[in-house]
Amino acid sequence: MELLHGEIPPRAIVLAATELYAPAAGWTSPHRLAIAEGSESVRILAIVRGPLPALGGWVTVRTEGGLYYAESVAATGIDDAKSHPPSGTS
Amino acid sequence: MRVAVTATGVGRFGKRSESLVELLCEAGREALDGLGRKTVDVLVVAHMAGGSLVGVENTVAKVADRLGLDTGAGFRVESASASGAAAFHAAVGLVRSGQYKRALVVAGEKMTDLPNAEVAKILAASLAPSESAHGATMPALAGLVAGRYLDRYHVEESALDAVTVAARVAAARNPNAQFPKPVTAEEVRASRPIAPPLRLLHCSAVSDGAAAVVVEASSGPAGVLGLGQATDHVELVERPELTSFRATRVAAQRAFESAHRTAQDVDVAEVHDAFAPFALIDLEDLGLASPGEAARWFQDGPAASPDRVPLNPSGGILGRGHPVGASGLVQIAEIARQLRGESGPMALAKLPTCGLAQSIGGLGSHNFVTILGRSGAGAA
Repeated sequence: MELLHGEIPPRAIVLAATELYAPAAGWTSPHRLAIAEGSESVRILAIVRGPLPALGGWVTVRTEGGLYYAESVAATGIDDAKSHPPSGTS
Repeated sequence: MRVAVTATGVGRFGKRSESLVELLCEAGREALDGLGRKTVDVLVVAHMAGGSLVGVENTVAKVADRLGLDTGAGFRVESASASGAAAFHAAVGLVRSGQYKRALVVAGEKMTDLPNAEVAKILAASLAPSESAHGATMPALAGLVAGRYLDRYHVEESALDAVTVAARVAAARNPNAQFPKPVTAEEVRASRPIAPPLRLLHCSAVSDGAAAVVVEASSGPAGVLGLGQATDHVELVERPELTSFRATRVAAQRAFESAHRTAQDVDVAEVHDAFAPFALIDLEDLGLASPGEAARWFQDGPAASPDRVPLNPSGGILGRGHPVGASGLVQIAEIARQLRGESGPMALAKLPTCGLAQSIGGLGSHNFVTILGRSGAGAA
């Protein structure tokens, strides 16, 4: 799937994830964040909805209000049909 | 022109009652005392966020006034948590250019006046706005980097504990350290989670403190052999590497090239361990360890590796404390003291002839490497 400029991948592989126990003002604890990589090696920092995804696992990605949100594929029940390998650069 | 650090001043780090300007002057005065009757003709001041943290601006004039540097020249330099290193690099350039003969560099921060949450918000201003908008803070991004590093290289979280333990052992010999009491790996592991895998004792603390050095033409033992710095994408996700800081790698390459030295020539190093995993990444980025191998430096213990470069003998940022504007300069001051045989209880068994200081600005977006040593073949 070829992405247009500025477009985000609908699914991505989790490269890193953490939950912040003393988040910045306006966020609830734990505030979960993930770096995920989609097709064409597009990386995003996303707010995680639901449980913290496993590294190497798949997430669905949505944008709302200019922010990225990620949710584990397992949590959404969406079957991963179009997998792609991560770039493996780091 | 051969330029060297000829005098240093380092104040006590931790919670201090003095103002930012007083802390800067305390360190500056100690350095000036080391000069005897000589005077400086330019003052370079660094702090990351004195205006936001303590409402202080115009610090060059305020420090100059208190130190009696009447009608001198001066500049303020800011590069986030590498501000102190940036000020040093600027001062070296000013002296090497011949415009000034002798520079006093002072760098500090006063952070403990505000609640931690306020400080974290101010520090987060150095991050990309797009990442802050997602609720990212410095510990959050460091936690992401740490998790990726551990996963990529199959390193156990206990390696991070070992970094903190080593830092605290060293800090116990530093009379100016914020944390002079050693901790065990079990205590580190039991500390509360901040941004897993990062726990509280994997993270540097809010601190007050300042350092100073004098830079002038000299062939002394703490000669400036090489300088390097580099920026990188501010957005972490824009970088091709998450487990390495390209800005450090490029800065190190530039510093080693200008010094005509290699990583194998380094006898002592002070690296930026604001978070425990950064110490691992720093070692690899500087070429002192292979990618994924730095954890063994700490897990094996110093007795198992006598050939390895002594790292952070002052306790590093984890043990010494992290008044952000000061950290880049106190590293250079401590390396200069090692080279000059002035490190007191922190002195190494063998007097080093080449030392390295590495400073990280922001989340690895503006990094500096400084190589000091005895003048001789290869000195820049």
